[in-house]
Amino acid sequence: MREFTRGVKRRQVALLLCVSALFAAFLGSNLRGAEEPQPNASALVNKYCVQCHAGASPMGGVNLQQLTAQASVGESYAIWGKVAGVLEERRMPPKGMPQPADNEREQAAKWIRTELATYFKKHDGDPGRVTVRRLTSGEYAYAIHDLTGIDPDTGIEASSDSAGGEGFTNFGDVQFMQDANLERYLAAAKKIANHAVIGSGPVEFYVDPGKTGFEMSAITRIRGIYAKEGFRTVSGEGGIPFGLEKYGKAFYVAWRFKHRAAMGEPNATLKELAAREGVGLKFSQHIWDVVNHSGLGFPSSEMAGRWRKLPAPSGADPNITAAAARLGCEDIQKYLTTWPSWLFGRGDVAAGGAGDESPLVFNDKSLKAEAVHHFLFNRAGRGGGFGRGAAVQTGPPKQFLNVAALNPSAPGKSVIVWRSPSVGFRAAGAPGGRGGRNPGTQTAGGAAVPPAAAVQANTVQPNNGAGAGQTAAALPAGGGRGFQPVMPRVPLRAAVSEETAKRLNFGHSPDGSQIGPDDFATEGSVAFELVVPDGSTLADFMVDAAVGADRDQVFRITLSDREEGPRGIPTRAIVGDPDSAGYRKFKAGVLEFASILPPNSNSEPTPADKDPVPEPFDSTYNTPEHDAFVNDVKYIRDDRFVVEHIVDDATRARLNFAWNDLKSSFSYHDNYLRLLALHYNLDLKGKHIADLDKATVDSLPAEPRRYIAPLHAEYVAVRTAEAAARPRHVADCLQFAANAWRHALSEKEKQGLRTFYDKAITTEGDHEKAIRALITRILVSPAFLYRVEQPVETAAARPLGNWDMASRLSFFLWSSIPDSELQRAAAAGELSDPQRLRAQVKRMLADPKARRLSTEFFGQWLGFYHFDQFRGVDTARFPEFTDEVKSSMYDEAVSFFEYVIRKDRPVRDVLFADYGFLNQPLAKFYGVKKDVASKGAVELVEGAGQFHRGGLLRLGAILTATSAPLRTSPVKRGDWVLRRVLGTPVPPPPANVGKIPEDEKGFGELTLRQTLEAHKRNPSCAGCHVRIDPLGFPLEHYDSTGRWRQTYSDGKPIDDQGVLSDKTEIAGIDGLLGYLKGKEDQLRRTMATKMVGYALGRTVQASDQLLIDRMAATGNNATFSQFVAEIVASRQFRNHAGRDDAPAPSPVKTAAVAAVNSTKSQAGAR
Amino acid sequence: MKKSQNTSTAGSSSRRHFLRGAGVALALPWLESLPLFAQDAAPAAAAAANKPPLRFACIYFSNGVDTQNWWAKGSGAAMELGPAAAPLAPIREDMVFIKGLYHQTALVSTSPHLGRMNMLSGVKVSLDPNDIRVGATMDQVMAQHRGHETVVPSLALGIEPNELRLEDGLSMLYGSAISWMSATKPASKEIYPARTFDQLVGDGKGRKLDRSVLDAVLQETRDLQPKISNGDRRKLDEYLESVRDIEKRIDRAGKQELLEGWRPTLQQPNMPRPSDELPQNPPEHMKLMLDLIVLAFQMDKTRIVTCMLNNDLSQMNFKFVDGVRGALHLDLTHGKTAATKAMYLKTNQFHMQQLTYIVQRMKQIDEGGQSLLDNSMLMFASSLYDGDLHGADQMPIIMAGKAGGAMQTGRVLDYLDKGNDNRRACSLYLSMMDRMGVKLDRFGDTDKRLPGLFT
Repeated sequence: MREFTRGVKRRQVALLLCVSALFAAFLGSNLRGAEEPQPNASALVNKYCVQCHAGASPMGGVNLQQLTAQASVGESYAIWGKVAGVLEERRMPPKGMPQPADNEREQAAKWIRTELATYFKKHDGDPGRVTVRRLTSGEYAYAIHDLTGIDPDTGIEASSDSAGGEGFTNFGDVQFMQDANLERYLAAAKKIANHAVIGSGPVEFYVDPGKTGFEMSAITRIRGIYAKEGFRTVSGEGGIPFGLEKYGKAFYVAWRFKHRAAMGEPNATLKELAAREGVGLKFSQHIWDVVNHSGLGFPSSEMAGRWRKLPAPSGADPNITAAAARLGCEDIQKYLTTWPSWLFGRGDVAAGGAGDESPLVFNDKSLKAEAVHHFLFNRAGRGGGFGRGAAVQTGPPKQFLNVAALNPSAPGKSVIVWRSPSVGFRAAGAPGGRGGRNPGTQTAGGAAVPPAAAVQANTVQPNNGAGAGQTAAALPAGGGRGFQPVMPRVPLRAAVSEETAKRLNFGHSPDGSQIGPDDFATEGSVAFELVVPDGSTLADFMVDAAVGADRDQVFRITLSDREEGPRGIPTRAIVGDPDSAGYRKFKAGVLEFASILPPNSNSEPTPADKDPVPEPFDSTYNTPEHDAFVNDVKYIRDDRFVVEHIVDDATRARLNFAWNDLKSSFSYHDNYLRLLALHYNLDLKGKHIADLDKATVDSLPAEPRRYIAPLHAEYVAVRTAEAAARPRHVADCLQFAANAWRHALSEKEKQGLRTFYDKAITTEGDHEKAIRALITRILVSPAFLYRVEQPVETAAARPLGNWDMASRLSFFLWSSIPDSELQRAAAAGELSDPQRLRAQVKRMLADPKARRLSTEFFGQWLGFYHFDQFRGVDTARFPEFTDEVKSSMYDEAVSFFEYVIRKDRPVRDVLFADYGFLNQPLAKFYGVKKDVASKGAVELVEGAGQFHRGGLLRLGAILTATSAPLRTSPVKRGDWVLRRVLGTPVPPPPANVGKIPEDEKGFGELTLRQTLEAHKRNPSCAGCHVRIDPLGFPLEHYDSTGRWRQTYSDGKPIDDQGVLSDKTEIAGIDGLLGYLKGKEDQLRRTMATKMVGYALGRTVQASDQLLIDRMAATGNNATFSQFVAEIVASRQFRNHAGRDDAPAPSPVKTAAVAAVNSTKSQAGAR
Repeated sequence: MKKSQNTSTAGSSSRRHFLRGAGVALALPWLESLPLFAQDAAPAAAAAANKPPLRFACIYFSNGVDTQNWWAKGSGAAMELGPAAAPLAPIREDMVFIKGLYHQTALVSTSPHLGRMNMLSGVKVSLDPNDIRVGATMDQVMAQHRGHETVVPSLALGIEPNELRLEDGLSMLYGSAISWMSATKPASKEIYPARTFDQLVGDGKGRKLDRSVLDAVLQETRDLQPKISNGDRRKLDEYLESVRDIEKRIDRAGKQELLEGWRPTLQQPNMPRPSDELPQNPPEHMKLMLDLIVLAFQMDKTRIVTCMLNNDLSQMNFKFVDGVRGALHLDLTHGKTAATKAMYLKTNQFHMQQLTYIVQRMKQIDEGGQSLLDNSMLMFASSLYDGDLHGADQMPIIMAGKAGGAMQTGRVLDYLDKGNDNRRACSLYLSMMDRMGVKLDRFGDTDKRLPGLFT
């Protein structure tokens, strides 16, 4: 505009001197009367137009007298363009007024067109004045989201916005600031700062604020890492397994690596193969080491052995072997992950267990073995006896004694001796026969009292010994409460058929050792049927199982009524001599397995309430000590495997930060210490963990010291880590500021922020508060709230710097701050390069964040902005118009334009798309008979035209927003099409509008059309309504909430015909679309105008006209990104005005423009 | 001393101004303890005499009235009211029914809608989309002179949010704001009852952190300023001014107990804090806002309030009034049928009920022998007269309260036939500003006081 300014000055001089023929010609009619016949439109205007278009209240608000007084057509280019238009189209002067001769008309129009073209060319691309912009409420929310990753309710909402320029809220001139606004920004900044997580890791933000948020953030981070990196067969109560496929993949990676040459890739590295499988290198390396380890014990040796037995690639197609190997690896995965469940005869149902959901833990208690184990198997099972009801099993009761040898390296025979087997029969209803859930602890009451040894309950809870060793007291004989009599207990020998007895070979052992006459011995498993005496429906089987001659043998024994193992309610035990070398070897093997091929990579950080608590506490469920731990200490870290064998260094650091934070988020260490003190009856004299020093800890008795010393050390480590993180937090805030302020910070800025922090430490008292204060300060800064561009020191326009360019781009396309890629490009100076700029635009438009362009640009342009909060429907009349429908309609509109943007669709799709977006509630509301899967977010629906949807004109949000609460408004809709789509708004009604003849006031019984026809007869209304109404009526098949309807509510047929002044008929929506097909260039022009205004945050001006021409000329197949690219490549977008702003536009010009741009005819009936 | 405000830079109540006007050399230390303007001496004396201060509130309703039914006759208890004004009957002795006042600038504006949104300034509304300009409004001029006497200089309240669209090519900001701090800057309208409550009740204590944050950004902005262009500087000046305003308020809140003279009758709020959400039901919302105005006056947190019951061209659906359906502007104001005209009348009546409510509430509050209403000037008005025609030939105005004894109520005043020069709404404003101790030579389109209203 600088040049322009000079031009004006020059003209003033010329005017004074009266020497320039050009200016004399231009200003001729004003200065010297009309005697000089120049081909100058001013003369014509003054002759034919100013009669109406002059004075304080010119017709249509258009003052042409002032227009001709101006120095240049450029000042009022828009209105000059209109003048040319109406002259060419012969719309003005109106009928009945003196008309210029045809050649007068032509010459004047031509003159205007030429002048305009010259002016546009001369000023093409002038950046113009762009007032510094405050972030709109939308931009603020998006920027906060992009900065913090969260969407807190900041209280900065649309009520602080207002629209201006081309109709957008990002227009600086209408963005005001006063203390009340700033108070809101201050409150919002404090609120956001309160979401900051300030612990031992980097500063980040969490969805919940404050202390609770800090703790939740830590546990969420921990869980997130575990879920991503770890795996579990079961995860506490109700847990579901996850991540186990990692094992199969890692085994397969190892196989591929082993056979890399045979697979035709001799140079493949483990790293590449792991990456290809999507499994971590570290874990793959670990599995590779395990399978290649030669000295593995049982059961790891089994797993590795299976891997080694996988087929080697052979034959013509090694991929066939590879596929088999993959399946084999998956089998190994299944085997190893279910092995613990198998061993303990328990675990999740999902994992093939018995429904026992307690975690799988390998320790002294769970691996406890006895040389002789007493079993009691209650045949009653769940809820019934044999041969009756929904028993576990019907028919003759079969007893399975399943035996698995657990020490394959034991030298001798794996013989187990079954001593004193006996059976007790009862009738149903007798105690012990009611189908208790835990038959092992129910001893038959009233029955013959079993041998003393049998009183010992036989189930060993394998996990941690909870319940182990519990003794169920035998009920005294005859203690039954009216139960039926019990048959005498008999030796097994007497309860099986002769055949079976022979097979069991009572009194003889396969290893030759001496056993009693009623005892028997087997190598491995055995099964037999019981012979049930009459009248008995229930039975129990009792036996003592003992290790045979080879004392190194270890067995897993389950008694069951099924062959397939631990189903129903089995009883289970590990039988082996705890003092034998064989047992020790077995135990070492299992512990080795647990550490190198564990079924779970980690424990849950928040154990379920039935999960064990660590030593030395009583981990029995529901005991005070257990509960106190669960309530007060809450978290247990047991993730050695994931830390050592899975996560990389960076993740491990994050995990450690998170655990540090978790433990410092509440009085974890103090609570722990208190429980230990209670447990050991220690008097700490009210000392907290912080009060302890090493000497005090060292002086504690050995037992408690074993626990307190590491606890104290951990406490110190947590505090140390926190302190160590502080400088980093300040650095994080500086980076945060650079992101928020959208440029690399200067040294001065950095120093300023550091100083602020230092001061805040003193005034606020601690680091955490000081960091929060620092974040607050950053977010209240004008550098964040305003889009201040680097000042131009020169008088002429200059290219934007890279950082400012990054900001313009990201606010244009994302309504937010630049992302890291854009920052990188800015720092590298790439954004001055049109080629790279274009690449960025492409990337950005495809990004999900481009959806914001849909809400902010299309929403404001087309009028569905914040439609989710639309209150203009009378929901008493339209109860079906629920909030769900409303927000779905909003989603429909936003998603439609998002699709156009991100899929880079042709711009014409905006009007003519045969696709739309629906969800179930919306499809139901519209009455669309089409299968729509989504109940929530809308989904793409092709062929939408057949059910009257698709494209802008058929969007529910648009059709609703252009209606009155209780009825449609063809005037509003027609005006909307004229203004928003075609960009040719009608002028506002004259001030004296509404002077509708008195007799026409009671329209009441007339139809809508008749009402409108009536006021069309009034010439002052007709001029506009002949343009408005024909474009609104074709939409009449859509009711005031956007639904397709066949008749009006009173049953009258829909009137959807529009007739233009040239008698063109527009019939219904199809007719309207057809009509608009001929006006695609006009749609492109409107869109171009709006987009330029939106992108630049100012009113479109003369210097933008050629840009708009270029965009409009892109043709019918122009895509959305072409439009954006034109703007981004334009001079006005890539430059800003010089230091001296262009003078404020003269009110004369703009008043006229305003009037022409302005639109509606409110005062008339609609 | 010539003072004429609201054209561009209203309210620069600088000391230089005073010195120039007074034309007397005075010792500065003495100045510190004196009101800034010579005429301020009167209210200052009143305060010293333990007299309650005078309060001003303007309550705006949009879209005019049903002119056929908008009339009043007679005086005092015998006053007769037309159907549109009928709900005012209980307060007829507490009010003055004014006819015939208008703004020349509104009447001639070529924009029948937003061009008339200059109710409190009387200045021409700019129709240039690049130049938002209405003129500083009389409430803000008063706030600039007297606002420093209370914790909150003034309140600008509303029910409907700013509309984010253009109307006739103009920003709907015009239709959403009746209170303007300067010619070009609207006062932020607060529509959240909870925020208003917090603003009134918050005591500014515990704002040490805010102070330090504000100090820091103030410095940063100053550093930025010399580098930027003039246009941008203007925007940043607004920001700077806001920072300083908050700082001042924080400081003022800390010193409030030092004020001498009259004490407000209410120290703590006597209503619960409203919930954070925006009320969904307009009548409830309005009642809350009116209650908050009363609270603000009672606690003497502010003495100057404006409140918009609806935005201009409001689409507020009046289904909450029995027997009414439809949007205020689109369906009711321009309703053509007998049924819709009847509904429009009901919207008028509903608006009048709001005034009646607040007047009756204020009348019940005793401030030592006088009611709060006695010490107030309430103005209830719309920018349009005939809503259907968007007519600006006069404005419907109801004044209520005794204005500290200066206004005799229970009257009907008709200026329509008094000649255009004698029926300027800005004359009313000059007179009201006089009462508030803000004496200007000229405001808006006049330099005349309104005859006949105040004694």
